[in-house]
Amino acid sequence: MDPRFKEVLEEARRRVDDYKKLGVNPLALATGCAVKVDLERVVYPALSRLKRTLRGNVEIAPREDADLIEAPKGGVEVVRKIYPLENPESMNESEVRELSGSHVIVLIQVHQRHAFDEESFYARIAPFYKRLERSGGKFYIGKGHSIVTPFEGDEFILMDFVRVSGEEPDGFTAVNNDTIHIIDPTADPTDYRQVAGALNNSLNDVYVMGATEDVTIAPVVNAPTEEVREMLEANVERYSREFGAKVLPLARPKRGRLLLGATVMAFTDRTPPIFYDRVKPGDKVLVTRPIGELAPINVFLAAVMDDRVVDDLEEYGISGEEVLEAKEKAFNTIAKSNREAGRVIAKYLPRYGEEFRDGEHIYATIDVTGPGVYVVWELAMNAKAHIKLWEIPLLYPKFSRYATDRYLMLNATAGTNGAFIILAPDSIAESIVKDLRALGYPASVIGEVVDVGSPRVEAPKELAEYVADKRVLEKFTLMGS
Amino acid sequence: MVKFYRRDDGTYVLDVRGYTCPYPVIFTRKALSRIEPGGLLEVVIDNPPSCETVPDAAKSEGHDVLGVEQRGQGVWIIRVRKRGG
Repeated sequence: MDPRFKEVLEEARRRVDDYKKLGVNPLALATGCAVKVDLERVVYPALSRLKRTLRGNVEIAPREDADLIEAPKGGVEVVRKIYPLENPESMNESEVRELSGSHVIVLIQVHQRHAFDEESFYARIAPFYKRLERSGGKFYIGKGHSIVTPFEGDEFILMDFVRVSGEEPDGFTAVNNDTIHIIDPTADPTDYRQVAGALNNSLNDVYVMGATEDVTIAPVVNAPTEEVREMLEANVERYSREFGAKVLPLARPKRGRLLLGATVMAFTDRTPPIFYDRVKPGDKVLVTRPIGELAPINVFLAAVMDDRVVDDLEEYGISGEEVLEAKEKAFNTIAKSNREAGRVIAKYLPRYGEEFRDGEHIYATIDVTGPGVYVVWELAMNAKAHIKLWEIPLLYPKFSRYATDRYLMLNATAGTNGAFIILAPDSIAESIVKDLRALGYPASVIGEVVDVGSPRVEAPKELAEYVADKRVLEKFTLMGS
Repeated sequence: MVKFYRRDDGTYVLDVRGYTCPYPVIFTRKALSRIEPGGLLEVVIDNPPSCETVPDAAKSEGHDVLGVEQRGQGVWIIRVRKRGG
């Protein structure tokens, strides 16, 4: 075994042991966005059932990367409530009624056994939505985020009630919540890149909407010890200074496990890219950079846990040096903000109050996180478009293939703080790519819209080498197979 | 914590409850490497996606997957016979 690789693996094992002594086992934490509850199989069916049963005073928004609220710049405030998921009675209906008129951003952390099927997930979350309804207040559930915990007793539901001031709106405030357990379980949780990656990941969904100004962060941070928690909070402060963001001092969950993320808000004086009905044949699909950054992190993790993986990797043609390099590069990619890419998107959007102009503006965008390449299918569904992908742009194809072959990842195209997929007219596609490249993003055009009317995505047959999840694969027509 | 032991009837048990992907697959591979050819391993999991990845990983290495069975709410047993028995 490469001596440097051996040394790094041993150091990672020592670090894991140190954390186990603190009562946390990093190797029981999900990496990056792997922590999300399955959207297609569990979350969407449960929400659709909720929508059917709720009366008019509680409305659940259609799936978008962020809740888009027409508001004056700086004209929103947030009130946070956190309830244990096993105790719906803890939600005080009269207290909630006072927040009537709010947009609600919901974060649900559910035990993995309730995260597998719609029925069980629905049973866990529905009582809270029913209480909101019974309060008699009017609420708009603008964005929800559901994550899995392997720990019993760690379940909670966090609701951020976002209220808009009465002044005249002059743009949109995009709001999102995202949390993860950890980016790299083998690195120190207090490594700045863990918090930076988690906050980038939350902000990614608002940046992808072109909202990049007046950034506000309401952290959702937790840790096994007060010392670690303070260090994580210090990293949040460092991040906010770096990006000129405001930090809201709202309550945090107090359950003693590692959790990194935030509800985030950012403003844009443009109209966000949700012009799905304007998509037409010949439009182009762009990506700001290749995807799949979680693959090398998972492969490294497997090597930390089992020496035989190292031999297996060598037989597969992946050296220890390559693993170290790819894993560090992937970690750094996740820790790098996509704010500048968001500014490029904003450049190609209509100013607030102006009309959308075909040929000049971007139609739609989405960021590539836990579901990986599946988000292209979501884009196709929203636009009712037949999309043809010419390539699957991967950062580390060899690692994604290995992770799939060895069943380390069901979907090795997954990312955290991932790339942006942009649906744009042919006339501006090259110009967007040029702008992104000038900022250091290795952007490219990866496909086009073939037809509109019903959703369909064609992809090269090698997609099956990177995705083992049959539910994801069945959404794609594999070309050449 | 992961538990790995041999029951009186000779069956090996790997209890990886509390672990999410990709850990159950990695622990199952390690456990299978430690038992004799033909030995029976029961993997206890509470992470639903592992109901797919653990059997698929075992089959890809030539082991026999005898079944995946639900035991109570949110707990599954995957029975694998090590190849070569």
